[in-house]
Amino acid sequence: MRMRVLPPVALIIGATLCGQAQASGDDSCYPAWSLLSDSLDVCNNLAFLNPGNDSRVNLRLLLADRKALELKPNALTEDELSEGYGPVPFAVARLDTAQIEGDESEESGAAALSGLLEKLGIKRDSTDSAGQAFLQGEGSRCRSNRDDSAAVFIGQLVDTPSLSDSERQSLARSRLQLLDGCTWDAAKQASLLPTDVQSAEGKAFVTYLQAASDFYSGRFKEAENGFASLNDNAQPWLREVSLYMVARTRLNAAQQDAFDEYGTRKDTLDTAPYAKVGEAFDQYLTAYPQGIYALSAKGLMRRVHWLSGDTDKLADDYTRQMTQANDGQRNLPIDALIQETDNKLLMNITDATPSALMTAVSDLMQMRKDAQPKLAREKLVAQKALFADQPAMFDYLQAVYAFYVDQQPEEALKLLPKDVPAALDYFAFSQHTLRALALEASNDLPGAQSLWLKLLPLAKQPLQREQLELALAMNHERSGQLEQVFAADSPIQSAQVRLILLGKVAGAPLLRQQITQGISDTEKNTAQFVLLYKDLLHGQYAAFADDFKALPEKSGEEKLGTSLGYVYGTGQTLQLFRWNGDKAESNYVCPSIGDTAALLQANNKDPKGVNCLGEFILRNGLDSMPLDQRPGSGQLGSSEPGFKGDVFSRLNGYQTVIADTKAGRDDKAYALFRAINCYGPSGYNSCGGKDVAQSVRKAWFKQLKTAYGSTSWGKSLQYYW
Amino acid sequence: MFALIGLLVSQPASAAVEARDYEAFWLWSGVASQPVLHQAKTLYVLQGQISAPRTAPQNPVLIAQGMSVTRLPQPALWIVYRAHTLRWPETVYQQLFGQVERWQDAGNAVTGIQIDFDARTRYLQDYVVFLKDLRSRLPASLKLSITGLMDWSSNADPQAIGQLKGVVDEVVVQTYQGRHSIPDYAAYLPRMGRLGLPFKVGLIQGGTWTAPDSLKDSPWFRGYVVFLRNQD
Repeated sequence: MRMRVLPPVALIIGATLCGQAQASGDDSCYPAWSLLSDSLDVCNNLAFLNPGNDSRVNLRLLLADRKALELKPNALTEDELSEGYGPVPFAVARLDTAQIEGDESEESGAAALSGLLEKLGIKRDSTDSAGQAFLQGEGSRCRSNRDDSAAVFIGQLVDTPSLSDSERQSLARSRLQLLDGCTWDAAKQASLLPTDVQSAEGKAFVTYLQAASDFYSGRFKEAENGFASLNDNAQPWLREVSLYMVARTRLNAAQQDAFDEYGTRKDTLDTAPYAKVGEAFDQYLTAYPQGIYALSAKGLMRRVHWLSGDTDKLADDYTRQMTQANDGQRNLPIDALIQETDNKLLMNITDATPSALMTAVSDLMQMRKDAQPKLAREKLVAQKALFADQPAMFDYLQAVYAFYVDQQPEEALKLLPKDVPAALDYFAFSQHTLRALALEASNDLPGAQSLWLKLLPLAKQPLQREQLELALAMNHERSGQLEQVFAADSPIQSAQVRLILLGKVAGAPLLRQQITQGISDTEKNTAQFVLLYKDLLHGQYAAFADDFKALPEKSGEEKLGTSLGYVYGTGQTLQLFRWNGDKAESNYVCPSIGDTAALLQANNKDPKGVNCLGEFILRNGLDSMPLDQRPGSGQLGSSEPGFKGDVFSRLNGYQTVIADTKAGRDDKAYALFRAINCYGPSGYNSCGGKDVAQSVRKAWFKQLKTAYGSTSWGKSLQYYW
Repeated sequence: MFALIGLLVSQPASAAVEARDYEAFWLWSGVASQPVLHQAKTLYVLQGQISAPRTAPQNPVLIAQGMSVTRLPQPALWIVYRAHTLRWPETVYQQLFGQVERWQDAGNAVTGIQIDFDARTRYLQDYVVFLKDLRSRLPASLKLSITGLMDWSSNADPQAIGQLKGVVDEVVVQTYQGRHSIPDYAAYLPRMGRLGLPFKVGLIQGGTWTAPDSLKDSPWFRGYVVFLRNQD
């Protein structure tokens, strides 16, 4: 999962926010072109509810249906495009709209504070504060000791008329000094607090400063007593903030022993102290449901529920926050809440919670092939009452179970509706997608195809249409109807889907057709490239000669990268087929690739022709060409390729020449030289074809050094591998 | 490469990576601590990522990740940062060094910092420039480590790699992608040994690993680092 970032308020919830982080150095994601995935793959998500999706994606789909958020896929980045991605499948970060935001409260707090200080005629020596010294994302109770909270305090001093000017000054100066740190021993603390305050109101503010500095210093008992003594104070703000701070102090005291030295929550947690913490927050929220600290208090209640292991309440917190609150009623943006839900709840629960929403997402996770523990059927069946309001969801989860866990598509079909509604939300889209997949798995390809086609005009939500194009293309491919994907009225317009089919499975006639009828220049050029390449590498030399004539003199400047299966900006152009034998780096001279093909057309074992086809591959970096790799079974483009037979490999080519008793001396020496080099320097064959034992390489080396020792290749080669 | 007398590269059945067989680990954010950490001599602790907001791509920021600053028992500690961009403003350097200092102030023996950047081969030249600059900013008492991808050894510009000598103190090469070991790691590693840089081999807990013979003979090989995963 690529991590997007949470604003600093998120920190209230904890320091280790980010979940199953991606392993170091593995930013790379590659698309897997399939609609079937039974294990988690953060790089490949689909637009329907299924176990292979990241839990955050399934949650977003459900929230989108409830209008709690809008599904707004990010445009494909340059990196994603260079990794070969199209719109679907997609990496989890595509849906994440969270942005790294500057912390505005820092700046507005500083401005408010300096305005107030000006009013009081106080000059500030430093603009640093202990709370601002932390990084975005770091967790500490000290973070709140910063300009904005100091400004609130000093604002209250200004608004409390019963304070004398000198009291106001002393209290404000003291609060400013406390911005410098977060830990003071008792003596230091005493030296920072004002001693010249006489009025009852003024003394109450001193009590607050003392309690706050105790709180930051970690003397929670003293802090709680101090705040509690202000709970009935006449000054309204002191009354409110002290009630909130009692709860916050109790929470900090309760969690002191909750984590191990690496910041991981201990398994053996003592839940008892959290009851009193919860009580205190409830007390605050009852007294001040719309209070200044109400959002923070609700966020901290989640922390209480998390730390005390109360997953039922935690599930309820998240469900309410995401489905019943608006942005102004949340302490975090919804993206951050989704991430937090994943970290703090979904990854920790194995049993149903009272939230149908969270239970559904969790069930899907537990239906993954490698889930530990895996959802037991009885457990799922026992959730019936939980889904009483959503019987269709309960049926869907059972259908998913039948399809993915039991692998009984016929059973899944019995649980899914047949009638397609007029509008497809993500849930209805999921039902019918699973239905079509179950039809395909039951070998009813035509039935599935008509369902895919029926869904197409109804797909209006983001990513639905793109996913259907992939589904339909795969159905055509497996039904032996590849030409329909490329028909003039084909609904399949996804460039990547079409190009994969051209590169992996299309036969010569279809490729020739797409050279003129492709929907873009890239598609036309790709078709021509694939045709010429496969003609050559599959020994269709006569066809190559004909197809080569269709290559216009000046064509082929476009670099074909991902359309040929390359990643990260590498690729080829049609100019490849104008290779004229350059540069004979090993002093073995070859004609153009056209002439080489002509030699091979006359005799497909012609030593010069074979060596030079090898030279063409070697000099143009065509070993392990992506076009030669067949996609894994079940993926787009994995059906029987249109070009039959083995692909030419250099190693086997050289072996042909080595075995040819009539081959010329130079041809044979060069074949030996190159064949040995296939294994250099790693000891692994980089030339394709069937591996040969090291004893064979040793014999080649001996042969080269003895029978051909006087050739330049016999002289230059010092090693074998 | 074998002069005349060839050695067969042995490939016994691969073995699962058991964390308890190792002494150096990565501790990433969101990964829970495990008892095996007690035996750790070296710990690589993720502490933040440097990335640019979509809304302000020219203004990368450092976001803290992982555990809070604390005193850890391991004798050698590396502070790790993931870089999604190499265009760091001054504030990022200040914050990063400030955080490393706080780790030192907490009483830890900080060996150095590690940069985890997905330097695909095409970015490698930029990366070298970035690392040279970072090295010059880094206090001499701190070492510089980077993570590396296996295909550097085969695809990267050898000149770029050569420039890393004297700039970085070690490269930890990943033999896994996502949660799985890369199937053909054995083909890449022998070349790694010829890059002329001290390197460690990064393994993933529960992945597969069989040390190629070439590894123990390499004068540049400095041991293993295991990426810990949550036990599921």
